[in-house]
Amino acid sequence: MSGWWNTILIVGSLVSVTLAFIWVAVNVSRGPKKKSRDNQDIANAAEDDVEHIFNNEFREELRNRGRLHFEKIISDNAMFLQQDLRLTASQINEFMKQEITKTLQETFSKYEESIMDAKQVALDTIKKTQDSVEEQRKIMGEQIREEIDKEKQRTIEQFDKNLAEIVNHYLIEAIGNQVSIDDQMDFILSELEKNKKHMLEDIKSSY
Amino acid sequence: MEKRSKPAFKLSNWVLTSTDLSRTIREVKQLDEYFHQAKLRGKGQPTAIPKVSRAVEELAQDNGLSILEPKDRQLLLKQLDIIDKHAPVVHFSFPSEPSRSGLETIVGWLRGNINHYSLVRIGLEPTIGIGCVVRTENKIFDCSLKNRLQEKKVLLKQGIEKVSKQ
Repeated sequence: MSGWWNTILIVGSLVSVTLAFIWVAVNVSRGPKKKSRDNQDIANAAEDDVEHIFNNEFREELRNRGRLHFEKIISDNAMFLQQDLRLTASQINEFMKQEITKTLQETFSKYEESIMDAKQVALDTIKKTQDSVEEQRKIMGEQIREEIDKEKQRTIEQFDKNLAEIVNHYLIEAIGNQVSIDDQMDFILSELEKNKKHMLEDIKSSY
Repeated sequence: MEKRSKPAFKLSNWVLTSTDLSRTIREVKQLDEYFHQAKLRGKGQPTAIPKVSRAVEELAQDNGLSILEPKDRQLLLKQLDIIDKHAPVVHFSFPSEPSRSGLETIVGWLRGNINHYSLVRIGLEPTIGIGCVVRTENKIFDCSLKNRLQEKKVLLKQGIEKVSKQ
């Protein structure tokens, strides 16, 4: 911002110098009107002298000098202006660089923060999922264990219930037809003896 | 329908099943018919005498009857008819075909303990395994090993547990 102020001050000073020069030149060329009649001759003589001194060549010389001076000042100020502009451009560049860097850093920071948040959310979600899976696994494990226990119990009960049949089946498979009815006679007679009373009652009631 | 006391008519061990009884009745009827025909034909015309089974012979012998006497034959037929109509028939299912001697033992037990004129019917049921299933008129008696094991299940379980622990 100081560069701009310098530029404005330089331009202002140039403008004021130019205006002062013009004013001096105009006043010098006009001269005072209210002169007394006495002084009029002197004035006219002076004017003539002035006209004589400040003739066209001299004026042209002055103009050239003024132009050269003006050009020099302009050139100097242009150089200053250029330097200021370069400085300003450099500062603007630096500023822009800083601003961009800052913005980028802020953006990256926000982005990083967002990534961290997302990461945290993802981690939380994964943890929750893992917890849920673990819980589900436990529940399923319990259920499977219960089912296995039930199945085991059912198998035992089934085995217990059909124990006689299983053993009998095994005996039949093992001994096959090797045991004849004659061999079984003692067993059959003992069974008949055991059921004798009921058989007798049933037969008595039927005949 | 008396039991334990001496039977008025002794049923031979050759008549064990209701089929045996039917066959015996048929034979006695054939014999009676033969003698009736021979009487009608008169003397001097030789004919072949039908063979008589051991069952008929023993029945006549055990009960003091002569199969040559019409009166005795009629008596025998009458007795057999009564037995056929009134004798209790017990159905036995065995896992395999029983021998004649085995059947005699069983029928002997029935006639000694249940009824003098007990007859049996035999059926085959291989799934029984060991033992038999007895069916009377209204009841079924499972005399198989399976039933015995079922009754003694607690002992069986204890035995299995004892063996499995060793």
